[in-house]
Amino acid sequence: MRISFDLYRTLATAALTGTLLMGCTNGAKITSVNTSYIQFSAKSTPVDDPVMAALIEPYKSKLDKDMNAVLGQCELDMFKSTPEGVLGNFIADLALVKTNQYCKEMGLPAADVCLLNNGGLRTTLPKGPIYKKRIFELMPFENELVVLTISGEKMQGLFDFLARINGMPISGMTLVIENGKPKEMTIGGKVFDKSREYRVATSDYLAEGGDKMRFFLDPLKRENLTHKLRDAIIEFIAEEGDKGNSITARIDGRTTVIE
Amino acid sequence: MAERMELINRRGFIKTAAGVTGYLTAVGLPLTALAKKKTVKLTILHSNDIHSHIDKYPDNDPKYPGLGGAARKAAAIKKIRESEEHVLLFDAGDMLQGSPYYNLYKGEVEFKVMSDMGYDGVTIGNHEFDNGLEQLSKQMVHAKFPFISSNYDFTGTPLEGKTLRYKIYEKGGIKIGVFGLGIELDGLVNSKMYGNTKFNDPMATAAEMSYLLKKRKKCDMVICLSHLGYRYDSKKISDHVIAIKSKNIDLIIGGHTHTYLDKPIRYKNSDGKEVLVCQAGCYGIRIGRLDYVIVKKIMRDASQTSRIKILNKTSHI
Repeated sequence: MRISFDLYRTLATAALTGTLLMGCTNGAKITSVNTSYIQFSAKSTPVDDPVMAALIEPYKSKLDKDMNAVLGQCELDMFKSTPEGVLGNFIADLALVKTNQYCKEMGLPAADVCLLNNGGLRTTLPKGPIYKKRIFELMPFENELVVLTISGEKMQGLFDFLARINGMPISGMTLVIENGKPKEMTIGGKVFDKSREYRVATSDYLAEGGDKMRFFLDPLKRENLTHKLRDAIIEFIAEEGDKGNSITARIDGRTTVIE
Repeated sequence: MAERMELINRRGFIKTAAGVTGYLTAVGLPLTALAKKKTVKLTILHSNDIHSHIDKYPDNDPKYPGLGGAARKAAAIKKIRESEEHVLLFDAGDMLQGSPYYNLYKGEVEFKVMSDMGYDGVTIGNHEFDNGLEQLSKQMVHAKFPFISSNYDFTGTPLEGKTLRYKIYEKGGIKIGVFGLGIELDGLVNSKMYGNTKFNDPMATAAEMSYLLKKRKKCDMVICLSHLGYRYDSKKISDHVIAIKSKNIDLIIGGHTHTYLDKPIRYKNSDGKEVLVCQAGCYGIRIGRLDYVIVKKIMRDASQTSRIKILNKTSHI
């Protein structure tokens, strides 16, 4: 009953088939199931469906007018990773820079650190020109930047969390993780002091306890910066582009794990 | 559509019930003598976590160079429909959020595109809530397919009455029961966005739905559309857990964890029966395909299939 085997071959570049024997149901018996997948590429499916393309076209052309703007140039392919990744470092660093620029404009004290989440970074950044569209795919959410003032106790909770989940995009702080516990924490180049308060830049989504960041709940103070995180990323890359700088980042050991 | 079909079938039961029972009694033949076997090929296609990806990825993409694209996918699906008579196409959630199409058009394009591809049913992922229930409800008018969600209770929300707890499809005389499981929203979605949505235990819901569909509604096959995620290191509920602990489910079409399973994972359920768990990655890069061959005992011709069920029904009355 593998009647469609030829079809698989034409449709799928990497189709994998296998026949499994199945159980019995109400008066009907599943005698076999042939499984495969189709990966959509120029090779597997060279011709687009014209009806679908026509349906999409008016939406796409309106969207492309704005979204195909080149913001700047990226020096390398940026991926997220744990305990730290190039993409996470890039975004967390620029979020702290932009946060402190907004704080200055608003007459607020600067943030000490920034914490974001890997789950919120939805794609990679490719080497070469960076289109506005890509930043919408990287940060599709409408999340806004906020600054939370939290106790040293809560800050310890933040480090504990980072150690437990093996790192997240951070800036302005460093830590060493050993056996899932934080060690050698620094903030702004100084040893972490549990007796003082810290100002943390993050997104409103995380500030409200998203991604299980419970330590952000009930902060001492919350300041909304009214800027979307996505807009901050777009501004930063465009400003660098205007200055003739391409964007780059690297792994610098801000989060390290010792076995 | 299928609801209407069920209704017609039920009317059919009533009309023919007495006649068939009488006939069998009079002739006194065992059922098997009248029955013959019918082989049906059923093709199930599935996607998950498309995340508003309408356009192809650019050729310089570090991860998915030149892959995906809705117009390409539509062409591939059309080709399958040309060669297969019985096709069902499902999505396991997170259709929305992830490209500027969603930021600009709020879901309209995604739902129109999926309607055009002929999706038969979808379940609700956590990102469907990203613009709130009011907005989701508004955009759902663009969808010609049902939203099947069994463990979210939308009573008292803008989605009330706009989703189904399950749906029964009929293909070539085979009854396929489908239900949907969503992930816990607390800590994952801003509570302002999901409002009064009540999250019910997925395991208990799976037990209820699969029993209802397989044993009481007499479905030949039960499919779970799940946005729970494939598998976790912790004890968190997942497709893996549902597959092992449940009964009466034949196939779990998964999502959420963006897992690329090149072929379904085979499990034995709590009765030792086989369950398949599948997931097709994310971002409209792939669809998964399962071609089932199902043999069903029927009366002399396919149009009389329902008569077997009539006997079951009448025995209850």
